[in-house]
Amino acid sequence: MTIGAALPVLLLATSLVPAIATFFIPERSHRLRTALNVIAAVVKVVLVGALVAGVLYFGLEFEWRAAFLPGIDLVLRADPIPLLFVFLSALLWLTTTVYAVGYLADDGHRSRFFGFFGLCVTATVGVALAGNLVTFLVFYELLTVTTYPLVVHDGTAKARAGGRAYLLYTLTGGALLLLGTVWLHALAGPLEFGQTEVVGALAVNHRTTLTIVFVILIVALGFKAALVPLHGWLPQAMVAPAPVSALLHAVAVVKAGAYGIVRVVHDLFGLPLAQDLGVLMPLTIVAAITIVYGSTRALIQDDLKRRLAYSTVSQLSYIVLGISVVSLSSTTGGLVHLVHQGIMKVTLFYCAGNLGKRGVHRVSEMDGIGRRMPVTMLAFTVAAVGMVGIPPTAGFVTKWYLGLGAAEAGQPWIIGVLALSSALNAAYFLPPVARAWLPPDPGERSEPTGRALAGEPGGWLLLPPVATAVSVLGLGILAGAPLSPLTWAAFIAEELMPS
Amino acid sequence: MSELSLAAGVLVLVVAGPLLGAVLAVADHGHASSRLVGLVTGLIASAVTVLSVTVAGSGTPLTLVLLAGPGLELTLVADGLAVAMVVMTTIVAIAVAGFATSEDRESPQARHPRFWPVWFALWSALHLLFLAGDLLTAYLMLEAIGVAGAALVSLDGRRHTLLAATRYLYAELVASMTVLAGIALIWHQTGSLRFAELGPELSAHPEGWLALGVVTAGLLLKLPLAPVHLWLPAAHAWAPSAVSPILSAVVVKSAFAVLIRLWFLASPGLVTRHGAQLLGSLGVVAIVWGSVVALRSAHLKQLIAYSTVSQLGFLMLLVPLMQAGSADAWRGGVLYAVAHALAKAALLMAAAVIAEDAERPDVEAVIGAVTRRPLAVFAIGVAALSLVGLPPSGGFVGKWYLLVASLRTGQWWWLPPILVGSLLTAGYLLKLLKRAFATDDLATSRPTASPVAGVGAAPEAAAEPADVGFDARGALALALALVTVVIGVRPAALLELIDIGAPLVTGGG
Repeated sequence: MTIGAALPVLLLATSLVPAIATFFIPERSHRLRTALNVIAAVVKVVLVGALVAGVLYFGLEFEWRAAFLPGIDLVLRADPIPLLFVFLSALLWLTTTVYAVGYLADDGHRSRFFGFFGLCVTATVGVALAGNLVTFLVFYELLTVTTYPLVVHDGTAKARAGGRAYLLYTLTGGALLLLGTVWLHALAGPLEFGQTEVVGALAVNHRTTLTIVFVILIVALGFKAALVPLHGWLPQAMVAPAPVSALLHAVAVVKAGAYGIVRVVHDLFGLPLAQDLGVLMPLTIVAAITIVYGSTRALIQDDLKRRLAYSTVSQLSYIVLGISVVSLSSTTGGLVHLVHQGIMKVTLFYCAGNLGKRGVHRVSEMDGIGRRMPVTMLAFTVAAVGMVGIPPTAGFVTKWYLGLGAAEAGQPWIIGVLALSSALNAAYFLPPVARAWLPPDPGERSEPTGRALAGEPGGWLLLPPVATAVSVLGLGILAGAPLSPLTWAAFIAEELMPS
Repeated sequence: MSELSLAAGVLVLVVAGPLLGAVLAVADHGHASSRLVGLVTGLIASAVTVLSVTVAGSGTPLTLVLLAGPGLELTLVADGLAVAMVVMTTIVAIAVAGFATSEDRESPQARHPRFWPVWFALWSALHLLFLAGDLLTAYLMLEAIGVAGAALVSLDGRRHTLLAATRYLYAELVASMTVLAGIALIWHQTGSLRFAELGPELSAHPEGWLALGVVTAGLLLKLPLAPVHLWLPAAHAWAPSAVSPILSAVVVKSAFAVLIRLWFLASPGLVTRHGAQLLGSLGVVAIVWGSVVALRSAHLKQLIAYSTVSQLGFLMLLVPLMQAGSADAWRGGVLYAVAHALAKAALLMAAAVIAEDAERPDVEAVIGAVTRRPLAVFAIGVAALSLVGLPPSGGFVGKWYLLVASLRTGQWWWLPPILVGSLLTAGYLLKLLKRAFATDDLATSRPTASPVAGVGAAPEAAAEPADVGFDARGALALALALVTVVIGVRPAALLELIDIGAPLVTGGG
């Protein structure tokens, strides 16, 4: 096997093999389990580094394929868009593994947890590198099922209800994705991502069918991408332990949906065909509705994780909005938000988890928490500011490019949506920040008791949010640097634009 | 020549091997030792392996005439369908044999002395049925399978199992007489009962249709397909835990194999669009009916039995799609039958382990099982993957081809039943999985826990994983379920095998 074929497989194996091994580690062997999972995560980051370097500096092609069904291959390929996603998932897997070790320190069933956690990341890497729709479908469904045990990990009635909602929504989406995939396969035969000309050629005779298939695929992916009104599972699934929520909301599940929409639009149909079929404008409108709806719902949530969940609904649609508007800057903004949203949201969920460890679950309980947990709240503040889109954070970069793109495409109403959304973001993110840092109102002051008196949690729980919060700033300040996600996204966008 | 005689010997061994097991078990006074069971299953497994490698390697069906004469003939035909079914039977039977011997080790005197002889005889009859090259042999084996199945259900002699077994037997008798009447009609017209010779003789006139219709009606009752499935749930649910997997996984495929062989390999000229659409519609009725009852069912094994009713409906979709000329339907349907067998047997074995632990037969037995029996719960999860049709699993590949066939033949109306049926399947299996992960209401739902136990204390005690030792039966169930994943990752070999001697494949369908 050449290096070009081996690396994609190794990327999968570095989480699959440790995951399977983890299932067999006795519950008590805490050190062994931790070492195995952290080392595997580090190795994966190194391999992704090698992958990026190989593509950028040596012009290598990384592709692995194996016969699956007659005439259909399973394909893993490191194209430009997959690199962006695989880079994100490898980095955030590392930080989330570290965080989960700390978060579950006193929990039972850790071998089960880390086993499924590893399977979940395997599936995510498979989704990222999928070279055709069938491979994408296989890993997308695998992701659905391997995440379920994580969502219901606590085993409480609430967790099971969340898990049930999660599975019923995502499996419905999966059934539609299967339908769309089979239909496209029946029309076009074996089809790989990037062969947009094949689908384009079909449009001569099958315009209506292609439009229907496009709608089926987008609706199918919209379940995981939490497009309104298919988002109902997301706020329920946030009952999962904080590391799972972090993974769910930043890298794995919802991101797989948004990423799938990116690939269907850009690598399957292609912008020219999608534009020609007239399916992009409705998608933009759905994304805009989702952005405003999610933010509005977030505004009225007192439960911190629920507020973050509705914020995810809203933020994900920035990606969809970006790629559904045909202009260089919009596409750049949409693609780069794949990375930016992940890093900002993961930080917020780490912080919410830390607060939860101290018994703080509601925004109304956050008064003065900044003085007891300054590091956690600093990270929270940076990420929240990023979500609002204030410079110099990653979130600002996204919104700037989306706004610019809307102007380029001659759709100024989108700028209005962005402005409204930013105002709503500020309205639901700044109050918790203000409560945390400002001295509490003497009239309502209640004496903190018990767990709430304790300060910051240990290093395993602090390091990840600090690292990701620094990245939020770094991605904003160094956005124009070579090798930054923005540079990479802009490069991809240029390739994708219809000439 | 020697190669051919080797193949012939292997073919005979595939059928005679289980029979040898039955004889040895009788000689052993029914208490088949695990060494005996191991030796015999090893022998059968080797023979089946050689057979499948031979047939797959040559790419053509293997035919062996054992007896030839008017009215008394025995021909074995090992084509792709037959070999796939035999391999499926053997894998399930080996797992069940391991499961039963493991049960025997735990409670040595519990096994009824007639169990092993009848069980091995059933296995032999199944192999002979799938390999039968003529209708009469197939009929006799269907009869033998029905009697052996009902006998196994009734072994524990309790009132409700006897009742279930009796209903099973009555249904089998009615079905057998119907099939026999149809076979007589066919023989009257053609003078032959060999599948390979029926085609040109059975012409499309009323008498031919009548014959095919009567045989089909009998086979549908045997299968059973909704709405004549009513005997199945009780029989499968009350059967002992080493019997249900064979019944639900393999025995239900016997009538299916004969049906599709008769329709598409023996008398394709008789098959009409209306008849095929009717069978497909009955399949949809079965999918919905079985799933809805399973969704509402509170009894663990009954839920799984209705799942079988529903899954048999999926198999029936092969018929209208084949009639419309899609070779993909054959691949999809037969592969789905194999995948269903493995997943369903694994599901039943895992459920038996869990229900036995909890000492209760309803779905609440599964509550908190992930702590007590993690392997069994994992087996349920993997089996569910295949039954719902999620990748990577054999169930996915089967559904993929059924969907492709629906789209390619323009029969789009089968798409919604397949997809909605899959979601319903997920719905009723989720009932089991979500309970398996429960930690909070153990105190109220376990009968062993004292009802006055402190609400706060009981979950604490339950959260401490009880040391159950190595769960051999759970591991067997998991291994069996994982075979569907292997098929799902590498389906090519099985698909090529199924194509051997399949209708439409050589005709460029």
